[in-house]
Formats: sequence, structure tokens, C-alpha cells
Amino acid sequence: MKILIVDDHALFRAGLRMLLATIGHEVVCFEAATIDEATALIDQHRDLQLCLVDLALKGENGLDAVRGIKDLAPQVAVVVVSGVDDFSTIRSCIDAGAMSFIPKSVQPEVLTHALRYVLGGEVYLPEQLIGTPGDLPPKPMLTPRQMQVLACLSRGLPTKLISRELGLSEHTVKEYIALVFQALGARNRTEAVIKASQLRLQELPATVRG
Amino acid sequence: MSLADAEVERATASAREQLVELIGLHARAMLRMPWVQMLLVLGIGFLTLVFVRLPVFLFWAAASISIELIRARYARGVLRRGYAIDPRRVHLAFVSLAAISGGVIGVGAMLFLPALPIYQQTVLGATLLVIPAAGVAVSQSSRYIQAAYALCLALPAGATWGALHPGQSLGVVALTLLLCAVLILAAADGDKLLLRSVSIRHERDRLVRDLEQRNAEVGAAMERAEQSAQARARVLAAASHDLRQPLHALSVYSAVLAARPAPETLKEVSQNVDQIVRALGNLLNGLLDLSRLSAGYYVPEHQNLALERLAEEVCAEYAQPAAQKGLLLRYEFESVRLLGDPVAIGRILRNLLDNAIKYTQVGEVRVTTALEWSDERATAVLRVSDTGKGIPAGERGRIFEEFYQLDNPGRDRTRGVGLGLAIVQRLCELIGAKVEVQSTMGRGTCFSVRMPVELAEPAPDLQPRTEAYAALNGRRVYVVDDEQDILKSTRTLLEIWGVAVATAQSPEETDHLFARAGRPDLMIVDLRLGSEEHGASLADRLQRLHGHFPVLITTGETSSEALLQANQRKFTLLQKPIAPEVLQRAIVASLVSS
Repeated sequence: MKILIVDDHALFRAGLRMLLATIGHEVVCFEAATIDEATALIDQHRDLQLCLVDLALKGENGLDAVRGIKDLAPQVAVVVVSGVDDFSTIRSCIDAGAMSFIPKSVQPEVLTHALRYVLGGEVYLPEQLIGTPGDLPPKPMLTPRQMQVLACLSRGLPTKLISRELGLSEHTVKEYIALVFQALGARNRTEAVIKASQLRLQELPATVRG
Repeated sequence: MSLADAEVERATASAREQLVELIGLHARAMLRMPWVQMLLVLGIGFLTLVFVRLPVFLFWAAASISIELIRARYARGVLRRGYAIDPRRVHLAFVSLAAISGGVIGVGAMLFLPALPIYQQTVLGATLLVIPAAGVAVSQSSRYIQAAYALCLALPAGATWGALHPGQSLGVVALTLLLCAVLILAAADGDKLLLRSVSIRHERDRLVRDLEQRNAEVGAAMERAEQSAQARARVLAAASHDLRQPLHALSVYSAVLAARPAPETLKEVSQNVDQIVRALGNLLNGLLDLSRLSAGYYVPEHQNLALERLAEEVCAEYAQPAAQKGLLLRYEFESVRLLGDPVAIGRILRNLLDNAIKYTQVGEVRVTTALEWSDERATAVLRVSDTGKGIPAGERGRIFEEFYQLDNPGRDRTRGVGLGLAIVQRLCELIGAKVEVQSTMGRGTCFSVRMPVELAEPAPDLQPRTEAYAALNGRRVYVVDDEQDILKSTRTLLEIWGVAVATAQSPEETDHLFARAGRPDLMIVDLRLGSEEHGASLADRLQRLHGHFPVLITTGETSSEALLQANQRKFTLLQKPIAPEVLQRAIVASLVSS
């Protein structure tokens, strides 16, 4: 699995690389300190699967990095790893196409846990955003197909790529997306990702990861 | 000026202002006097013309009106000059003029009274006694003006009356004097009252001014407090950001360790953790230093020190870091001795050097120590210059702010914590030094620290190690110049180099010096000594008398008989102005060759 780490703090980058190498299997990490470096690496490695991005890049906005990566390689799952962890920042990251958000300030074991999620292709959002498992509303009933579409939405894939990945027509995919939004009571992709995360709907079929 | 002096000066100034104001009032009253006098002359003419010879009356009338015209004219001049007058002199002039004016009317009494019948005598006598009473108003409450006017008028008039009526003479003279006394007292009372009201007004003005000043001070203090609160908030925000970043990294490494990494990873973890901990330590130390410096806990020492030696030691610490970056670390040390705080100066140099090495990618970092002169004062200058990318003009003032580099996204915040220059600034303030920065974009930056040089007793254990110093130390040098200032500055300079100096201002003094203390190791003499014997011939004569010794001749001339002689005698000539290093080289060369 090829992973790109974008952070201007070299020691933090090195730490993430070692942690990913230790807890993941056959992980290859690339490191970038700027958006330009990140873009070059993405161009070079088209089979990149995961990208961890810091929001506070020196002189550059990490959100731009997220958007840039999604434009360049929509199939890459982007995870924001940031020192800032307020609600609106997390939302705007997901708006920009990020799949998960890991605050830098979490405890070491939470960080490991979150990275395991991310490596497994699942959504990780901070607990303060999705709430504790205690007071869960009833889970909506989603068909396996709808679950697949939701997973693709979480990864920030555009409709075209979802239809290609699932072997469906774009029109059908759009109908599925509408059904998923309705079932989750969400108005857009960001709300759907957050709701799905809150409802712990993440038991994804292995086929989705490809 | 002490506070008490200032108080006295202010009181004097305010008394002067009050006097000027009173004089102004009197001067304005004077402007109307010719008209009043004309009425008086007409009245007296009406009363006396039948009995008095016309030319006598006309002469008196002309004199009487003329003196009032003179007074009015003088008063106009005083008013025009306003505050620029000397109030005491003007007052004296007014008193004199009042005396003449009163005297002229008094003379009138002497001329006219004897010629008049008793009825007219009585009316004129009464009128003359009333006039000084009116003068109380005109004299504007200066008892001296009033006294001069009243006495010069009433005494001749009273005496004349007494002479005409011998039976009443005692009574008339006594009553006249009494009247004068009463009028003077009345004037004095008015004097006090007026002075009091003027001083009350002045006091009020002063209070208003004080109040305005106080308000401005309070406003400024509040602004300062506001600024310092903002600065503190900025420091806190930047510090918390900078402290959190390494903590986040540490947290990652903690997670790596918990995940039981491979042995080769462990090694990298330990190295990186070590790096982070060091950076954190530096940051915390910087913050603590800064707060200690800001809180005034650090009391600088005053120690004898050799600046170039201190600089050399610090530079040695940075030889390796500079070499690692491929930078050339160069130094040029002029020996400078001063009273200072070695810890503070060392820290200033370390921080400057650290920055210079950090922000320079290619080229060299250069450290120099030098002694510079301006206005007869010596300043020790420590310079650190680099060939880095330079600091934009707009940011040169802000680089001394804490964490400034953080606000500047172009700089790499993983390098250093952004406190170095803030600490340099505080330390410089504490030791009375000034730090300046010059920078050319793309060419490099030069920081200069200027420290006042105070001389102390030479401390033998702190002698600089340079060769020049060894050659100079303890040598006896006579300096001869007819200019006291040059003698003084040369002496200070030589003493900084460890030279034992004696000075003379003339050939005679030089002779005494030689008689008393013998031949020196070197004599520095000005070509022009303000006497017949010039420097070269003096040196020549002394060498013949006392045996050979090296001589340096200083001169501003380029051609003269004296210069020719100096050349013939093969004395070393130094053209003024002489740079300290030139002088030092010349002295060392002379001492070595002899």
C-alpha cells in the first residue's frame, strides 16, 4: 500500500511514517513538505491509495492541498491530520473531499487506532464530532449496494468513478446516492459521511477496497 | 538640572512673566497720558495766563507735554517688543520718566504759584495735590512709579506754598508728605492685589497645563500597557503553538513505541525524540530567559574584559556548525577592552552567530570587534555579518519581536524558535548597548552591537592575546600635542591598548616630563605645537639630549619647512586624521624596529 504524507514538520512526518510502517502491512510511505512536492509525488505514483495531509503547511493552506489532490487523483483517499480540531475545520475538510480527520492532539493509542481505521479503508472522525456509542439512534436499513455507494462517497469519489468502480450507470449511482442521503437524513456528502460515521455504519464488504 | 533647580527656574520664569504683565498694563496707561496732560495744561493755562508771562507758560507747557509724549512713545516701544523686554530695566525707566513727569509739574508750581493771587493760588495748589492721587490709577499700582511721580510733584509744590505762606510752611510740608505716604501705600495695596490676581491666573494656567500633561502621560502609559498586553498575548499564542508542535510529534513517537516497532526503527525513534526534546528544551529556555530578562531579574555585571578574546571563544564554539553547512567563519579582531558583562555579551554574540549560520546557505559569516570614535567617545563595536538572503527593509524593525519568524510564513519554523533576536534586544537594553541591523536583499545582513567603553584599572589576567597587544602592553609612550582634546582622546585610546601614557602640551612641559621620568619607549608628537619650536625640532633636540627613542610625528600638513625637517630626520609621519588601527600599526612597527 502506497501512502503519501504531506506535513511541513519533518520530525512529525518521520514519526507518522514509522507508525504506519509498524502497524500496517507492506506499507510504502512517501513524504512531502509542500503542495508542489505532493503534486509531483502523486504524478509519479499513480497507484497511491492514501494521503495524509496537514492543514498548517508553511505558507500554504492544507485545504488547498486536499482539493488539489482530489482534483488530480480522485481515487486517492485523503485523510487530514491536523493540530486544529474545531468542528467547522473538520466539516470544511470533508467538504473539500477528505475521507477522515485525525486531530494531532489525540492520545498515542487513539492515533494508532485511528490510523488502523484509515489503513483499513474506513472513515475516522474525532469522537467529539460523532459522539459516544452510548446514545445511538436506530441504524437505517441500507442494502449492500447502498452501503457500497456510501463507502465510495466517504472516500470522496465523484459519481463517474463510483459508477466505474461498481459497474453501474451514472444515472443509477445518482439514484443510489439520493436513497442513501434520504436514509441517513443527509442533505449532502459531508453530512452523509458524518452521519454514517456517527451511526457506525462502516462494516464494509471487502470487495469495495479493490 | 535637579528637581529643585527646575522648581526655582519655573518660579523665576513665572515671576518674570508677572512683572512683564504689570509693565504692559502701565505702558498701556501711558499711551493715553499726552491727552490727559494737554487737558491739564489747558486748565492751568486758564487759571494762570493772566498773571504769568506767556513765554514762561508756553515753555513749561511744551516741556510738560513733551515729557508725556516721550513716555507714550517709550511705552509703545515696550508694548511692541512684548515679552522680549528686560522687565527690570523697563520698570526703572518708567520710574525715572514718572519722576521727570512729576518734576515738570512741580517746577510749574514753583514758577506759577508766586505770581498768582491767593484765590488762584488755592485752586492751583489743590489741583496739584489732586493730580498725584489720580496718578495712583495711572501708575498701575507700582508703588515705585507712584512714589517717584508723587514726590517729585508734591514736594516742590508744597515747598513753594510753604515759602509763600511761612506761617503754614510746617503744616503744608507735613500734610504734603502725609499725602504722598498715603498715596504710596494705596499704590502698594493695589500693587499687591494686582500681583495676586496675575499670579492666580498664572497658577490656573499652570494647573491646566499640568493637567493636560498628566492626561497625555496617562494616555501614553495606557497605550504602552495595551501594547505590552498585546505583545504578551502574541508571545503566548506563538509559544503555545510552538510548544504543541513538538508535543504532537512526541505523541506519534510514543504511539510508534507502543506498537512494538522493528529494532532499526527504534534507533531512528530515539534520535528523533532526542532532537524534539532538545528543541523543546531550547524553546522553554528561551521563554524563561526572555521572561527573566523582561522581569528585570537579570542584573548585568561590570567586569574587565577583552572583547576580542570573548569573541574568539564564542566563535570557536561555532566553527563546527559553520563548517558543517560549508560556510566560512571568518574573524577580524581588534583588541578592545571594556567594562562589561561577559555572560550577556557572549549570549548576544551566540544568538547572532546562530542566526547568521542558520540563515546563510552559501558564503561566509564574519565576526569583527573594533573600537570606534565619535565625539571623543570610544565605542566598542561587535559585528556579525553574513552572506545570507537579507532581511526586507519593512521587516527589519520587527525581527526583534518575539516569535517574529512565525508571522513570516517564508521562514522555516522548524529551524530555531524565533526568540534569539528578542533576547539579543533585551540583553542590549540591559547592558546599555545598541543593536543595529543593516541588510541588502540577496547580499547579506550585518548586525552591529555598540557598547559604551568604560575604562577600568587594567587587569593583568585579562590581557588580550594578540601580538599587537603584547607589543604594546606596558610600554611607556609620551604624547605631545597643544590641543587638550586630542591629548585626551589619544590617551584613552592608548590606555585601552594597555600602554602607559604621559602627556605634554608644550615643549616646556615635554622637557619637564623628560627630566622627571626620562626617555620613553616612544614619543608621539604633533608637528605644530603652538610655539616656535615645532614637533620635529623638539624630537630632534630631545634625542640629542637624552639618547635615541622612536618618534611618531602627526600632522595635517602636506608641505612646509617643518615637514621637510621631519622628513630629513626620518621620523615616521602620520597624516591626520589617523585611524586607530593605523596608529596601532605605526606604534607597533616603531617599537619593534627599535
